[in-house]
Amino acid sequence: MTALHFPLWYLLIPFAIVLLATTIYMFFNIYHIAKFGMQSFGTTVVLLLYFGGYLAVLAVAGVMISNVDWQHTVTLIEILPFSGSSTSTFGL
Amino acid sequence: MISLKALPNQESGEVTVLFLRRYWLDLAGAFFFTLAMTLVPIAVGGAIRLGHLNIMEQPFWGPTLTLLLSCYMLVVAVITMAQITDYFLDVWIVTTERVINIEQHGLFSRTVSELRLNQVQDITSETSGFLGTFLTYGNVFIQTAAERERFQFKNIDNPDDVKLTIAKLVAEAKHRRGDASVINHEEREERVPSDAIPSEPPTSHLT
Repeated sequence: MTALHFPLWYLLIPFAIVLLATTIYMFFNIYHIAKFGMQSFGTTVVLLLYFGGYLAVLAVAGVMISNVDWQHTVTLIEILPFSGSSTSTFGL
Repeated sequence: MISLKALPNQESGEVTVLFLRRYWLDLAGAFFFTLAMTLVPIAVGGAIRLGHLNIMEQPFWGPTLTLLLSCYMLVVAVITMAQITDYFLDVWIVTTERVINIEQHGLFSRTVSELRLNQVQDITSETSGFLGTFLTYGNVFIQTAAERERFQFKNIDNPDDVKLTIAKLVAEAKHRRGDASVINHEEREERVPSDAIPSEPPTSHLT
């Protein structure tokens, strides 16, 4: 009997959906501030903070994600925590 | 964008006197939320390390937790943005002629209303709670004679000063344009539905 296995990059699909949703939401925020905000220096600062903050979070997430070997294939038995497998998928 | 020098329907000679936002403590609350939410994964990571659980080394759970952490950070970032947007877009503008109330309710609902100063009947300032009293912030309510919801300036700085300033502007506006805060008797009757007024006095039907 062969164990069911799947590549780790499958996990990136739900992550991509969350990423898309949060990016759309971020752009809605920026749109609202840009359209309905007051014409002032503070508005510019807030817009820059939004872009900067979101890009910083994306950069941190990107660094963390890039350390994983997403081509690695896992079997169902490995999903059980502390199953004894110690094969690290982090390319550290 | 809205410019204070060119408000919508601005009349000639109309000058912006007050531009109000909620007290900074509301914004600090958003930042405090972000800080607290950022500390949660750090605390969880510390607990995992203290417990000597090598869960990050697991071939499935390590990458899964990495993605969950990334999603968590993105969601906290956009929630913080939504709170800042909500704070930033709630403004109250008082000019020499009118009060403009702009309120953002979430991302997809927005209310813009205005009233003329010579319609104002009553202004109330309210400071409550320990922080409100200590830091002098609170609410100002502006009531007109019309059957409409009263304006509320929520959690603004120095509500008593704002009330005095608006009261002064109201007095000036009424002097210039006449008092429109009193509904005359005919208008009041028109507002009352005819079936609400009994046509003849009630009679008793005692048997």
